[in-house]
Amino acid sequence: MMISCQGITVKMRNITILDQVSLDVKTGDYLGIVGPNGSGKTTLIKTLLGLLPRTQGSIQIAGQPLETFNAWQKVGYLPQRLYIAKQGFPATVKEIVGSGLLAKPMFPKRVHTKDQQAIVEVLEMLQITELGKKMIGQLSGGQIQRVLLARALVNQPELLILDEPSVALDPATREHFYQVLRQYNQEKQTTILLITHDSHTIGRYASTFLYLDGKVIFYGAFHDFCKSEAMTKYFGAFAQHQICHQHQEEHRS
Amino acid sequence: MSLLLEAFQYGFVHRALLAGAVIAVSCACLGIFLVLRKLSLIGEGLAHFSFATIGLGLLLNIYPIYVTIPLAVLASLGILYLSENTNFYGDAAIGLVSAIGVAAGVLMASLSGGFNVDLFSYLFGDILAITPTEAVSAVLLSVVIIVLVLLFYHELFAITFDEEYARVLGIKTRRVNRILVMLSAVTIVLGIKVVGIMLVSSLIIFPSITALQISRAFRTALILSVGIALVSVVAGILLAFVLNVPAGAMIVVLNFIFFIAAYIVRIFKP
Repeated sequence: MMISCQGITVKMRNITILDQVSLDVKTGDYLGIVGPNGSGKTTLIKTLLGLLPRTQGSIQIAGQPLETFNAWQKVGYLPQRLYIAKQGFPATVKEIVGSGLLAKPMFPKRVHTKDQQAIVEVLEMLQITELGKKMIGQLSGGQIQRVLLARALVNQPELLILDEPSVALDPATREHFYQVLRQYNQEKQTTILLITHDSHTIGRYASTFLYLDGKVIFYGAFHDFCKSEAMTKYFGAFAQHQICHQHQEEHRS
Repeated sequence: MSLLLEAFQYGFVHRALLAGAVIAVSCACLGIFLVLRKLSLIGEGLAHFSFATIGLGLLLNIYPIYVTIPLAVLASLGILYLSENTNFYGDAAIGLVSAIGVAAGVLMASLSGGFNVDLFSYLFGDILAITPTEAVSAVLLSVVIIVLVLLFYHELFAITFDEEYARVLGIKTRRVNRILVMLSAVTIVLGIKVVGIMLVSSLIIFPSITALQISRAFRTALILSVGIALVSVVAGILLAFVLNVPAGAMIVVLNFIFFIAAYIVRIFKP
């Protein structure tokens, strides 16, 4: 099991953001996470990454309790925020992507010369080689999104967590972006957790589905989603049918 | 020219150049991280706080730097605590510590019978009057600071760009932040000897923002910032000797000239 969390409750200033969320994400799963604004999607993944404290519940990553987990080089994360690439921040794309390699446990932390090859390869794969020497603060939102994906992928992670990764991407780039993710998922068995408001993307690429609204409304495989009356209530019969149809078409091809 | 050559014959000039150079390098090394994290005013806050601790040292007749270093380190941790654990913004926490420092400093100066020559030398710096013991202490402490910055360079870079992601990388961000502010506190106390309480934050800010005008990579910005700091301190001390003007003010004026030059280069750079 890549992620196992049981009964996670997160409260902030006495407001319950997540209530008794339990998940078992298997290695190689591609989990799509959807839900309305403020439903706790980002809170859930930040809690899984240890960035937010939980009020109760337990979390294990790759069989280890979160509290003692230290193999962070196995985890890639693409945050939702784009504004982190501060205007004029004086770092090249290669420096930013290289910082993803600092997850390896060592002291002092170093990006070795041999690591440069991994940086070049991931930039090539994402078709952004030409951005390598540019300053991060001078890039467009879509370019920054791809650079931050490169940072998340440079370690060849076993678990990849993405929070609304495609909002700033044009349609062609978005398609390539999701193809790369699928390639990682299918060829390297990378476990993916993807938050998106785009339920068609979930339909096309994800293998399991989580609908969150402060608590788990639905969590299961796609064929169960397609039969779920609870999900019909949330999505409407037509939208549910479309998502399922796209999933079936994509997986048939 | 003959005055310039004459300068190199004096031991106090050698000491000033050596101590000034290493202090300048440590200020520049930390400055780039502090400026980019919008913490550069920590220099101002801690310098003002040091006004109180130097006043305390003079009042108690203890060598002021011995009192100031530990208290400034504690104040830096206090600023960090306030900005991390309360609803304060970082600059508000710095403002608080700064105001308390000046108020306490004035009270202590008043208790000890008003501002005296010693306190004035700390307000405006007097690097040419640095004693051999002070010079050795400054060199040793600066070397420790520079080595620690080099050891934690990648952690500091990752946190400066994206602190949340740095935590996902497994970097102990709280620990590194503590190290950063404690090193800043020691550096600022050392910098007080060079340019004084009133101007010490310029040693942190000027070389960094000058380098940021023309650098296109983080490592280059750091190296350039160190170079600018070194040149301005060494040239400032020598010019101060030749022109018989205060070294601290000369160093800051040179830094300003370098900044304007870099700004113009940036505007006309394709």
